[in-house]
Amino acid sequence: MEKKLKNLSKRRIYSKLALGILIFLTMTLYLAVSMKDGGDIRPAGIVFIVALALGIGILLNGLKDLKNVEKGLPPEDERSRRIMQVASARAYMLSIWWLLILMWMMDEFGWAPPHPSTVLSAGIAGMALLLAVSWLYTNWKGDIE
Amino acid sequence: MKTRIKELRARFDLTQEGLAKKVGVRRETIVFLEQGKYNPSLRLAHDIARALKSKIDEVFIFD
Repeated sequence: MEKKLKNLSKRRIYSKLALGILIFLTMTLYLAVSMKDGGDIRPAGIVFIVALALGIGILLNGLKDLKNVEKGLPPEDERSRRIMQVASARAYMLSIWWLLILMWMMDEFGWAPPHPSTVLSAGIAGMALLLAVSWLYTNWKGDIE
Repeated sequence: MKTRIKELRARFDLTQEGLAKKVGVRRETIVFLEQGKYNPSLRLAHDIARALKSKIDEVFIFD
């Protein structure tokens, strides 16, 4: 791989790694502070777990890409780009359903969250999780026709 | 779609990684190609055939 292309690829991978580290550290710190003050982390527990898992996933993926670049292989190619396109499209459709279900649950069960940001967090975390699951499934199945 | 990539790789003593490096793709792409789970673009099919010193229709067999 040309040196210039290799350096550009490395810079993109380092950005990905930085994002993974940031998410992981933020969630770990938030969890530690919440537990230290004796607060109840259960309401946001699932969001924590999702965000932590995503942070770790991004980190591991970035390290794998870095290993590929060191070997002279590209971090992404036509197949990986196509997988991301298909996975994103699927996740978008599923996210619409997820948000509808969230709104229905609020109406049907009279769920009144303590703060609007709770609903927003649940929505965003759900969408991020759907994208991750969609990507994992599409990557494993190879079903991108 | 079936491929003869594995057989032709062995003929030229090429690893999956070696072939991936030659054609500029990730190793996982070669794995999925060999399993017949991915249909490559025309450009990639051409590059793989050239790397394996064969014609496209000798490497990729469409059912």
